[in-house]
Amino acid sequence: MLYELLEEHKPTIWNCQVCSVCQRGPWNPYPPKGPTSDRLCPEYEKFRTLTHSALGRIQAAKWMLEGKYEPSDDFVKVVYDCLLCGACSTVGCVVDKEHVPMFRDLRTDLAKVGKGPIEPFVKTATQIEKEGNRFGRPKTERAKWAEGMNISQKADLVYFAGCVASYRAPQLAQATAKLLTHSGTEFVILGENEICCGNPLASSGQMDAFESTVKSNLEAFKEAGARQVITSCACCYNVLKFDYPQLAGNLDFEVVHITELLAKLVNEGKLKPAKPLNEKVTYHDPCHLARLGSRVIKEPRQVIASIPGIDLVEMEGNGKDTQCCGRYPVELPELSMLTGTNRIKDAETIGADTIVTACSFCDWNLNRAAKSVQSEIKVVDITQLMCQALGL
Amino acid sequence: MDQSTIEKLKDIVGPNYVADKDYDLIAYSRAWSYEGPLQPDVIVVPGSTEAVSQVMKLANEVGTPVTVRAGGTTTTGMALPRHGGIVLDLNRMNTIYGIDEDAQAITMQAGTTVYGLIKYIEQRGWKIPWLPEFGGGVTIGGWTAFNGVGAGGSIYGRVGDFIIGLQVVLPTGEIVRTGSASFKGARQFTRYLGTGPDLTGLYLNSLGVSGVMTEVTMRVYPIPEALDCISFGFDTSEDAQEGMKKLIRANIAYGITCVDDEMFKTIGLPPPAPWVVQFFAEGWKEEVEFRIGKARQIIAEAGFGNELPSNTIKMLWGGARGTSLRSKPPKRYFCVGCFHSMDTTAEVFNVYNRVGEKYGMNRGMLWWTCQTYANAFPVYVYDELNDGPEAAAQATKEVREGWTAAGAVPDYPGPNPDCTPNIVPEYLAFWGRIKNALDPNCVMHRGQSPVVE
Ligand SMILES: Cc1cc2nc3c(=O)[nH]c(=O)nc-3n(C[C@H](O)[C@H](O)[C@H](O)COP(=O)(O)OP(=O)(O)OC[C@H]3O[C@@H](n4cnc5c(N)ncnc54)[C@H](O)[C@@H]3O)c2cc1C
Repeated sequence: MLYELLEEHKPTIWNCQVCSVCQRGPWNPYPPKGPTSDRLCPEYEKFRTLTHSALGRIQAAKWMLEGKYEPSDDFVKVVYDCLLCGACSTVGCVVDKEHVPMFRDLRTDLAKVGKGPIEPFVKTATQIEKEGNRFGRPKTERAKWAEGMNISQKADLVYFAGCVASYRAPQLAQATAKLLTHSGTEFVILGENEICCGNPLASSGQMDAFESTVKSNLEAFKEAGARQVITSCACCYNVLKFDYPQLAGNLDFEVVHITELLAKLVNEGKLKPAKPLNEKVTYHDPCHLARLGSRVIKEPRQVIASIPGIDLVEMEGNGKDTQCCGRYPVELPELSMLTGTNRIKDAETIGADTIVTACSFCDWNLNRAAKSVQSEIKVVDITQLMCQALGL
Repeated sequence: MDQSTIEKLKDIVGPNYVADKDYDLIAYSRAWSYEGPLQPDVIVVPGSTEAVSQVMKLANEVGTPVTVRAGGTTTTGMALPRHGGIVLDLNRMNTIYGIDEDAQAITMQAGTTVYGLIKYIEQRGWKIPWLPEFGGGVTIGGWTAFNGVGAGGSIYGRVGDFIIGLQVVLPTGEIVRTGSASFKGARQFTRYLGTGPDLTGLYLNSLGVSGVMTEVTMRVYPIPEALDCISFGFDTSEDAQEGMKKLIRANIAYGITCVDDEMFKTIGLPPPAPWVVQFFAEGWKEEVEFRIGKARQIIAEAGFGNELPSNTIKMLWGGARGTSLRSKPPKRYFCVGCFHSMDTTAEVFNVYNRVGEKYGMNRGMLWWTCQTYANAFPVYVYDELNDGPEAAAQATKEVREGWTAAGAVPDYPGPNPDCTPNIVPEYLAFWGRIKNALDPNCVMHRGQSPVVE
């Protein structure tokens, strides 16, 4: 069988309604909710043809399975134009709730027959293979962010910082570490033993490379004696929580997102933000936290609401109906920028001063977008906001 | 299609909005329908009326067919190209120009989604006459071309009844306006004016054969103080028919709808009755209370039918409406519709059930009044992977034949079965003369039923 993984999705592929909901909006607008029409699929919004939508990709997949279509190199590019944000299935689809696994399997099957991945993802994989991170920065610098932070040597809670917070935005990892320390939560980091979570590999069909990443990180977790792994990046969280067990079976540890832990610490009175922040704040739900697999939606809001003075307002498209931040600033820079810019506009529309998020990629891409449109909106990670309110 | 035509199309709409790769053609080969695959030669995604006009002129020059595609939701594949050529995807044309509050009118580009419009005006305290219930892809242009129906049809009629005017690109490429804006200095506030016959009507139910609507002006109303509903259960289709006839004659409804026990079963809710009729009233609070009370009295006096608990409506709006099509995925759905006079309601319902039972299909009746007549629009569930599209096609054909025998008329003209033979020849010839005058090269939606010479 040529497309083995895709074959599993046959019932969905055959029964796709071709109803256009995956491009243009949800089923039930009464009362109006969810993303506005035309904002459902970032890819469709940019390209404006059905080809660039779940519907178009599903039709092509059907023809592939019927043996009527031999994918061209151009089509492979189309397959990689999707941000895998999952809005198409969660918000609208009547046939299936899980398009993302299907589109990932399509990429994997194509890669197996030598079609794809596209060059930027190959480059990312090469960097990961070489230095264990998506930027190709020296392995030895992985834990540089933690210098002088006095992190424990032994604890069964591991903080997995991820590539972005380790190399590109150390302030995010530092904010997380400060909060853990301040709340009296003992934790360790993996240091040079931490490598990329593998998200860019799993999502681009590079499954062999992904497997070796999983293996390496699992060994490191084992060595550290992890019972609980905390991530501050929603992409890392998602892949550790959902993809690792698929390859490695049940994990010896629990995967927890920092917002889940912060909510618990706030409820237990271990974090008491006292400094009023008189700002109008909106929370951007990362797809990987609120939509794709898990529904960590109320916890981050509880955390934000615990800060005195904050006026928490909602953007259109929130919770599981969130709009993607753009996710791939390196691999799909243009689409990523358009999507991020739209999210900035959403926040501006409701008059927010600050967008708070809970993912290194959302933070990266929304900051990048805000800068490009010279928006006055501040973009901060929830850990940074909490540090501010705690005077850390 | 030759490369020079493709290049010209790129010059008109921009290179990013012309798609002719094999996978583009595959993406457009199906619509929400068992029909197809039917591939175009090229897809063009215009951004303006001017661009549409130039595309149409070019199509006439080179003699290529043009099929308009919007949401692609008419379930007999009306937006599929039957003879290749250009598919004109209107979804990029989605600007809403705002509400003219004094004229109680809203104008928007034809590719605006209906749900997008509803959201836009509700945020501003206005409403379109009634709320439809379909997928998010349906556009204003497609809805007008289809001339839709909904739960407030008793007062407001069909979509065509609240269209004030249009901007249209004729099949030969000229741009015209219909409605009062066709008179110099006037804006869109009425459809009818003393300058000649109603040309807007040429586009209602036109399904892409008489030109491309690029802008639509629709009547809007302030959101009323109250909207309420009372539900009645009936044991037989005959009783439901008689009950609904009485309610319509009383002339007090905003809308009357009917769903059946099969619908409840399909969406996994316990059926409150074999036939559930809902009577809606809108307006001032006292007025609504009066109308609901009157409906209650009428059914009580009829001696058949019983009032259902008030949460039935919630079950439907929260359950059937909006999720009526979410039964046990992954399955596909097809709908088939007809318009009929009230006295044929029971037979229309019976045909729907007979065919559903014959093919063992899960299903659900959706039915609305349109002033004094009605629209039946049942949904059937089928499995394209295991049963193939043939089952859906065959069931559709049989439902339509049964309805035709009962004296109903189709909601769209085909192609399964092609309704052309059932059209009175003089009428067909009359329409043929108009179509030929409008579209001398027959570029628009070639092969679309009814087929005219
Ligand atoms: C499950 C379901 C439930 C439904 N429920 C309702 C309901 O409650 N109420 C209701 O009113 N309808 C209902 N419908 C029908 C719905 O109204 C039509 O399917 C819809 O209006 C078609 O619009 P579209 O944008 O998808 O057009 P398309 O399917 O793309 O096109 C329809 C036809 O119109 C032509 N066309 C489209 N746009 C233009 C234009 N701008 N100018 C000229 N020709 C054009 C096309 O060529 C085609 O022939 C339902 C449909 C489904 C599938």
